[in-house]
Amino acid sequence: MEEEKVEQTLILPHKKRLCRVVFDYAWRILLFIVIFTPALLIQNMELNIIRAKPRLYKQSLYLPSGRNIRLISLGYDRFMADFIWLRAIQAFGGIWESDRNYQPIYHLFDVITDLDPHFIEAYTFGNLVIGDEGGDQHLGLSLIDKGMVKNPLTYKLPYWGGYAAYWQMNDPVLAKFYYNRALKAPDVPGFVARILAYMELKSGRYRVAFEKYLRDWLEAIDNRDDVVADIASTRILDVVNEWQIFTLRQAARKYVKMTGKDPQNIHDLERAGAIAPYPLVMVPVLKERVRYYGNQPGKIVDHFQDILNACIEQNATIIPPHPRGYWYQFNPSLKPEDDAYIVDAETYVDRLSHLLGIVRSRIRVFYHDHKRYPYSLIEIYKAPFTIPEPFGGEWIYYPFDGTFRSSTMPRL
Amino acid sequence: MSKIFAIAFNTFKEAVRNRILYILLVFALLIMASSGIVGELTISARDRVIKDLGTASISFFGLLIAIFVGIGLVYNELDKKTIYTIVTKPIDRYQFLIGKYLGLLLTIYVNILIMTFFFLAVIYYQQYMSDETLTKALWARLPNGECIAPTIFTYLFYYIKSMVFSGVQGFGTLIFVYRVDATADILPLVFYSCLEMAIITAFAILYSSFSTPTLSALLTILTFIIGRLNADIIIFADRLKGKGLTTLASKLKYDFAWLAAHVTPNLWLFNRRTSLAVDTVEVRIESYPIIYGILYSTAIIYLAVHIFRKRNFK
Repeated sequence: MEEEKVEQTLILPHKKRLCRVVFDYAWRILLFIVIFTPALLIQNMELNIIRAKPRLYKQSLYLPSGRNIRLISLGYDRFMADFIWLRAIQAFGGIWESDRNYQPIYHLFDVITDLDPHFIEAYTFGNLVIGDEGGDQHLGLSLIDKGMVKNPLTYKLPYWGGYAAYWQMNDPVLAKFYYNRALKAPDVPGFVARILAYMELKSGRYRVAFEKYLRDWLEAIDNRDDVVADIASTRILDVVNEWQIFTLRQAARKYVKMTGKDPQNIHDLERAGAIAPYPLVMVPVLKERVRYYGNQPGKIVDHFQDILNACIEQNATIIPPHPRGYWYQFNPSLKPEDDAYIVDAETYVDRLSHLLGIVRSRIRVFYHDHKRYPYSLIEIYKAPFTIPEPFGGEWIYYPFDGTFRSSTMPRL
Repeated sequence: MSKIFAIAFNTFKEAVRNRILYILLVFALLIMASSGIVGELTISARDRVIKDLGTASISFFGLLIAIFVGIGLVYNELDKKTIYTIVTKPIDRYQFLIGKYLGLLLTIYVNILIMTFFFLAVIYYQQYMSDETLTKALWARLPNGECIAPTIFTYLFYYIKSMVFSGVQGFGTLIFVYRVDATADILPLVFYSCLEMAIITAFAILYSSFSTPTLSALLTILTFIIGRLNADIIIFADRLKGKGLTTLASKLKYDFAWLAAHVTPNLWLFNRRTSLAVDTVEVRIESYPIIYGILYSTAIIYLAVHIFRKRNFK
């Protein structure tokens, strides 16, 4: 039958034969379209249903344990870990767009790190997602702890642990533990030591912090690393500043206990003998010693102990000079028992400059719009200007030339 | 020896005509080519995802080629009676089987070579396409700090140039072991995959010397699974022992697990990336997996030869 058909086709004239072939193909293609199009339509409908449904990320949260997946993966553990890693990122995105409950995602990171214990990004990203975004810092840190056991030679995990402990949990002691661990890793970069010194400062171990920064400074000078030397020297002044504020704060509390009244002036503390003997860092001596040893042959860090002994005066009982040339004073809005009762003027000068800048810019805008200065600040703010002057002084405004100043620091 | 090589070469020629081979190869190359897209899905660890996908593809598709091409090699000779034309010639059966084994191994290795070249080229190409490199290459900076946007021709020229350079670099890595950080571990990992394939192929030949292709495929896959789980089996045996072998059943289970762990191939040995203690350590080629791979596959081929010699072709 088929052969007859072929023969019939062959004996047809050329044009008719061509038409027959084209027709033959055409109806086959048409048949294919007729069958395939409904299939595609059904597929399209299904896709729309899937799109309309909530994200399916939660399915991936019900994975078996890492041990079981490891058995199934037949040695393709890393590949499987990568696959679940991609799912974890999708799940993170899905949760971020919905209820933002990140705790269930912990299981995914647990499985990934079971499959590949050396997947550093899974630990750090998992910690960020569960700790930072999810708010469960302890669960996040448990991932870091797991990674630290399996990867003792990398600084990255304890570094991120320290970050979470200090910046998220506000726990400098725990942060110190992590940064100390990071320092033991062979690949640790230099800045981790400075972060650890900062943690010492924040946990109240001023002397340790001071010594760490001092050593860092001297090493940076030896290595001709100007950037690090600059950072370290700045941090030294910060440490000295905070150390002295701490000392004065203790003295203020002692003064209240001794006299039963609040001190009126910072020098009252010294006069009443409320300042307990403390180690005073003499910044000018420190700078002079560093300059002196810097001009000597050999490494300056070898004179660390000499510099340290020279710049610290033990058992000082005077009001400490501000390391940057400012001064210390009481915060008039607080009581001696408050932590921020004694402040350094530097902080307040910054705040004062900021406030002055804001008000002066508003005055300039007013002048630009009205071609005159406002008669009072009420004209700008449509209400009395009630922001207190940071030093407890008064605001001074001259309507004839638009000058706005503080009574405490009129030159600023 | 020349007879073995003649059979091996003919087996290779026969195997490269197999369509399954090309289908598998195309699939492998497609997966590797798509690794760049997969890499885009990840937040970090992009290089790692691309590398893992590529090395896993080489290993997995190498395995599939070993199974699906290997299982039919001996059986087809028997089924089509072409074996009669060979055994009537002055060729020993062991020469025939070893020739078949080497021919199949050559086929697999050539495929792995192609996949590795392609994979290396993909990695190099990804490097050319990184944001940093693209910016440096395409955005010209004037002395006053202004940037000039590239034209379509600059783009086109850069893409073509990147492809060519990636290919050249991939070739250089394969032949002259030229490498950069991104490709440092790939050649050793591929080498270990080749050793693993030598054992799997030996098993495929062994099974096909006495059974049907379907059964051979099944047995080879099972051998691969057991081989990859070898380390877990011995841990399981130790656990049984730790719990105490008080009953006969537990004693039997322990003996069976112990025997299985010691007799089946330890393919875990070739999974170097996972078995390394620290991720930062570079994968190195060590002597004992090579010796193990050669000895084990020789032993299996010896067994296959023994079975094949006893086999009646009627």
